[in-house]
Amino acid sequence: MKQIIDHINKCFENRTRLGIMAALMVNESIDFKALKQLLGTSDGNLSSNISTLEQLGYVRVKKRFIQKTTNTSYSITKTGRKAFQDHLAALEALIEGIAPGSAK
Amino acid sequence: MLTIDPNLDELHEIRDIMRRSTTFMSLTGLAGVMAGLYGIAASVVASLILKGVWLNEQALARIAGEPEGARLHLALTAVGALIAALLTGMLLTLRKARTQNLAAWDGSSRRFALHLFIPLLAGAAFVAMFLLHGQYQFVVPAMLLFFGCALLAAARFVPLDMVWFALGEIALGLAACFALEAGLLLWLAGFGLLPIIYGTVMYLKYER
Repeated sequence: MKQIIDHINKCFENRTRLGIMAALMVNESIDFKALKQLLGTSDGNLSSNISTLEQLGYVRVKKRFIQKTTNTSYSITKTGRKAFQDHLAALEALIEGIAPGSAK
Repeated sequence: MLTIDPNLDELHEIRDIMRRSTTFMSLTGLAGVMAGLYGIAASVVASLILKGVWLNEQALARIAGEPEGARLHLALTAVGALIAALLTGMLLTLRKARTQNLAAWDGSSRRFALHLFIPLLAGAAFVAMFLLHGQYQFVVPAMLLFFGCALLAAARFVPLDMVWFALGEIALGLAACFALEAGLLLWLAGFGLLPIIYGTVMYLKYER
């Protein structure tokens, strides 16, 4: 049990960060506006959580210009993918532990 | 004792975000219904051009012998129905996206369009080859089969269960391969009735 809890990533306890990672796992890249719409969060909350993930090396930020306005898009890094997969596996293991057989 | 497991909750949320971020949520069953209505109109016009022939071994092969004008009218009818169906579909999608406060043209709709239109364009080229060689009887099976395959390729990008619609089109296409005389009827079924049934079921199931 101790080992499992070690893999629960504290960083993903925040719902916005969890959402960002979940969305980036299955999309090559997503821009700020789409991510904001998907998660239904505020600009400030989203950008502060993205920079946390960026500092951890989980998320890559790409800025470019589309007709004079900046477009910022995000994608997941190899480290980020690994960290999120470990987190998911730990969650599953915890659920199995609580209700054996009910979660497959 | 009832306990709500926060971890399970978290997994559900992750799954929900993954699903929502990869599927094209704004497609509406109404687009299918409208496309089907245009399809019915087009096949009625086609049968009038072919002088009321619905079930005839020669009906479609005979087009080769029709005067240039009749062939042009048939082609215009088909293209007209296609354009009307696409435009209506896009308008309905934009409208639904606006009421859902979603972007209509995002990663998921791009992926949906890409997977739908690549097989569809390949099919269009294949059908064009039959038209160029005057092999009109093979147009219907080719259209149905390619449309079915295109739907199947795009099905996983929409939340509506499109797989059985795709399989239905493929089944009709296969039937058309072996019953060339029923071409116009099968076209009516595949581009008229089936989209209407699918669209109505999806609308009632997910949008009401």
